[in-house]
Amino acid sequence: MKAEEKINQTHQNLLAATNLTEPKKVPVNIDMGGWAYSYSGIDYESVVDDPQKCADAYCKFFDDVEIDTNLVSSCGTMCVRMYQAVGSRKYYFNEGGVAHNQAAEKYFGPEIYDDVIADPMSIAEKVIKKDCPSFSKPREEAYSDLKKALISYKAYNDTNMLISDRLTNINGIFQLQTDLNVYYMSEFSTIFDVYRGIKEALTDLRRRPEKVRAAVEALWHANNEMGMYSFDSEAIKEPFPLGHTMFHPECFLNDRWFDELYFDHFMKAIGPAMEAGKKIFLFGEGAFMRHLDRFNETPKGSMIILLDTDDPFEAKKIIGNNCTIMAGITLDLMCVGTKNQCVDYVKRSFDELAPGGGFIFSTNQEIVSAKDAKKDNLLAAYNEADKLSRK
Amino acid sequence: MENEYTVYELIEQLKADETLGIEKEEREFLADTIYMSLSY
Repeated sequence: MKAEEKINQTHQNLLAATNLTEPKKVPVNIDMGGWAYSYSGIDYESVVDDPQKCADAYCKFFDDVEIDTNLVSSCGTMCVRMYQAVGSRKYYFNEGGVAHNQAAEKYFGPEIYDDVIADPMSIAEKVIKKDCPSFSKPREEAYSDLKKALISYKAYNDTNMLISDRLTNINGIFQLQTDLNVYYMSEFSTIFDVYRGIKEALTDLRRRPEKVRAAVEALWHANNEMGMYSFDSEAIKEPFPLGHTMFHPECFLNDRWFDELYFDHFMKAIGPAMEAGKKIFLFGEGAFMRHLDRFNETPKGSMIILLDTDDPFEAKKIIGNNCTIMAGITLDLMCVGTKNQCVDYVKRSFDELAPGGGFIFSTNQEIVSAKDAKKDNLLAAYNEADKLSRK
Repeated sequence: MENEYTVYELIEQLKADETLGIEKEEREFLADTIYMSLSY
């Protein structure tokens, strides 16, 4: 089948599945990160500066395995060279791939709340200067480092364009790129991830809740003033590319905070796009079963929810009549389980999640590095998924 | 102080830097993306 024809068929199957009807073929998705390089037997660092070699190494998996959609719209990693150029240790090459150096993250003290409340737009500059030692250097030296960062980022961007072109035009893979014009990430997520860190941000909810509330409101108003949620009225009528939201700190929040810090703003920001026809992808992190029922308030068929650690079979009972569930095989099973266990789990997923539509087969997380999944397990799981998806 | 500048000023300098051998439109896209990436 030609690539264009396959993509058109996948498009129709995605529409059917997400409209909660049974598609001719259940879309088979993968969230393929840096694991693709280990599949090719290539050390990512050895090809990172050569876009063609890097793209070839990433794409080999897709030449060998039947896949309908890919969630990752980059070459499966972060641009490590860019961070290195400005002295940041946030990401580093590790075991043939890339690792996030979370232990090296430094955060602001609680005084940052007053800065956010006073001028939310000024914080980006503080974050960069905190994380990137290059910007403590004299201007000329800092600029020289920034130029190196740009050259590195160009190679990364060129690689991504080669991958996108090849997956689309050769492999016929429908790339579930997210429409970053229709995007909501909670303001508290920024506080949690960038300003204060996990532990302190959650502690702040108890010790200084009014500061958190005021900072969240300041960020919300700043984003609105920038027009982040003023969508093109024609573009939002198109289901694809998917709009995007994600759970990051949300799995840690009680019901009251969940509504206040995530759901209320999510519905205000993204609700009009869903009403117009845009499909919204929720990238779930952590366990969030207790909040899932809130998404029954979204327009029927508008949301695709990637579950992380929650049981998809229980989730279907809660949101299966309103939302599409993206699940089917877990990284932990592919990492430590047997081939038979993986195949049995895939069979159960199709048996219980596929009837009636609203199911996209997928890994539950991005396959970041070589150790995330045994090759034989992953191939067995996806061969089974391909077979069952056509029934 | 020698290093009293903002990163945003350097980003603007990158966008205008014709010595990089990168077309203006791509340069602006790359520079803006770098600023966004580093600030998160």
